[in-house]
Amino acid sequence: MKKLLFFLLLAPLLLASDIKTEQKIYTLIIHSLLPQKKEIKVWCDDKAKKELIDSIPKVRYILNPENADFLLLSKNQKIQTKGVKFVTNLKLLEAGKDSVVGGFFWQKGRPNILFLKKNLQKHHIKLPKSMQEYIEEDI
Amino acid sequence: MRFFLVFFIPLGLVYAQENLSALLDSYKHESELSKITKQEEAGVLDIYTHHDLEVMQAKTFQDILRILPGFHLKRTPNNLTSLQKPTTPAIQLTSVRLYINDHDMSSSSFGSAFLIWGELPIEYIDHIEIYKGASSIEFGNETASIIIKMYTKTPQRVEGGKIRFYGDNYGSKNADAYFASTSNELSYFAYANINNIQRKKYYNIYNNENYTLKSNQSGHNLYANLQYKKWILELGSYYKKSDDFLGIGINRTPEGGDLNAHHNYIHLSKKFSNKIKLQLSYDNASYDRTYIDPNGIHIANGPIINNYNIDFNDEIFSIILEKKIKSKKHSFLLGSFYKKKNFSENGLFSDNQATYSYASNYSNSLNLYSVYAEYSYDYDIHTRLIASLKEDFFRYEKTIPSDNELAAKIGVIKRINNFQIKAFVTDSYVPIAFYQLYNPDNIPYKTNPNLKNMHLLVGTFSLKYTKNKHSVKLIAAKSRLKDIVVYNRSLSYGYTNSSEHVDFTRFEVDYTYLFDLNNKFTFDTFYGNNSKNVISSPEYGSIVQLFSKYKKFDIYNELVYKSPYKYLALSVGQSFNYTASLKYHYSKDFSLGLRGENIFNSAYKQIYHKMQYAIPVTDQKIWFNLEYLF
Repeated sequence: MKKLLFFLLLAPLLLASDIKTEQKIYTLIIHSLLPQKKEIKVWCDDKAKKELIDSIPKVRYILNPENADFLLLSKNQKIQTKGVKFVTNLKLLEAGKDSVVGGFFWQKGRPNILFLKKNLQKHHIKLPKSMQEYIEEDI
Repeated sequence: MRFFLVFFIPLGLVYAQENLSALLDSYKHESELSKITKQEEAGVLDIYTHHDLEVMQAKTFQDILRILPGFHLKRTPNNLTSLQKPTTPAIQLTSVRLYINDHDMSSSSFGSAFLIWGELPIEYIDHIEIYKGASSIEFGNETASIIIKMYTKTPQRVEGGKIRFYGDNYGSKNADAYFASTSNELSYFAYANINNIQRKKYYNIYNNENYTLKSNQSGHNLYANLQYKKWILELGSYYKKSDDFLGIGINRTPEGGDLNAHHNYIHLSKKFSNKIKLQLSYDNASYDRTYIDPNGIHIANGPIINNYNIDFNDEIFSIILEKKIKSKKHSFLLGSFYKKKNFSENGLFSDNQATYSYASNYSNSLNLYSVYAEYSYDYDIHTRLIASLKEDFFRYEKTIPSDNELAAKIGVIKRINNFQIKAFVTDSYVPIAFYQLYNPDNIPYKTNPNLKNMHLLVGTFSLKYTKNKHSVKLIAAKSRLKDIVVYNRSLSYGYTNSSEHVDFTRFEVDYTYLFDLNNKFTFDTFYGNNSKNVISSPEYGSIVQLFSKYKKFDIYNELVYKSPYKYLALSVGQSFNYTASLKYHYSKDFSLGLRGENIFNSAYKQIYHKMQYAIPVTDQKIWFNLEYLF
């Protein structure tokens, strides 16, 4: 029921036309992966993504990866923390397939989203039905 | 509360279900590379996006030139691709420059890329930008009034591979393959193409003999792009072999002959952190042409011959250094380049009676230096003023006197509510090419030291109105071409500067209606004339395009209209070149397509000297297309 309410509340935000699509996508991903959190602490290894993270509602950019609930990784997936790791390119997803929960990346000339089932299970994450089609057993 | 949830939550769910897929589609459109690369300051712009090219099932450069508003696609008598301004027989080749990424594809001999790259297969091209009324200063290179920028696909976007095969009902075959991979430091994109394009044959009867006019073409294209940190290395190699079509014989009666051309290049560029950009490049090009005509070919200072072979060989070394300085309101581009252009020409000419045989050769080189600057000032958030200046220094190795040329441009871009106004005035020149300085028909080769660059003054104005899904653009352009290089066989040097100037006027109206991201309607119509009132090609033209998506189908419709015209005692009626294509996406990775060209068999026909009938520039064809991503 909480998830349903979450989508109900999120929908108007996602429909707002002046918000960039990339932000809408990350809003959906982050809140779908961590729906129970009132405020999600996010760390990233690419400074260029800071503005994007800051623009996501109920998300706070933090400087220490140790305390992050969600790690957005563009350079290195080997970082050891308890947070949910998500990558921005295919190579990092392949390299980190034992720990990374998913990625949003370009492949074959189109943007792709992919979640790895076993890593979602490790974090006890159950994605909403609408995103099940993006879950894969392996890469 | 329960009632509230029952009523509203399913709406939220439906939205969420549809949303991610729709968002990805929206993100793909929003992230088009053309939105990053386009330079509004550079001129009035036409863009063919990655999505446009995919839906069109575009194959070659010609598929784009055919729908370029304000111009007619031309097939020259010797089977090369070119353009015509409305009413003119041909555009000055050196006034159009083609770039692939930052690399200028022009050869030394011709000062143009069209002679070798005019039929380029474009599967490795991500998008194409065409700037009209430009000066090239923004692109840090030699002057031109029309700049065509092709951008290759990038490793970061491709990350994978693709194979494509297409063929037509004439037996043409084309195969493309590319692969790209990225890592933190090293990324690459590699592309290969092989093609064999068959075209409709035409015939010319002379003295009761039937001569076949063939225009088939075959070749290959290789390209690689390596990126390491902020270094980019590009390698390109293009080869084509093509028939002579009408050739250059007096009576258009070719019997064999062909063109063998290649262009290899390497281009290295690096963007330093202090906004300095360095580019180094090397080009090697060859254009080896043979004409055979049993009924005679004219040459200057010699008898009528039957066998004409000419081989142009070019080398270009280039170094370009640029720095950008940007503050809140001011932007500067300061740049300089040096080019060393080597040129050699070897010819062999003979008749069939073995009474005349002559070999001729010549070589020269040009040291071309250039300094340039562009300044733009944001008067307020709606107004940008632009000024640019460029001085070029021509220093030839021998025979031809040194020359300096100045190019300047001023412009303004202004936004008022839903309107965007662009106005540019460019005072520039159209450089002469080696083949004009050393007229290849003038045997033995002699330099024409008196030949000057043509000078061009262009004013371009555009008014764009955008509201909701509608966009209308009005364009008016006026240009004056002075010191025009014309060919006069009766003169010793052949090519000479005309003492008379010609004014050209062009009006264009473009309308776009965006139904949604995947469904778009465009309509462009244009008119052009010249001050001499000489009509050698249609005055009017219109292009209609409809891009559609329905379930797993991409549908594309295109209609190109040209008005009737008379030239050389022949009349050509109005033409309607209708193209339609259908692509079925069997899966995300595999698609099949059909594309029909000149479906009504009523495409634009071109009139050629000494031919009794006009010949369509585009054949009536059906193409079959297969694409697989991996």
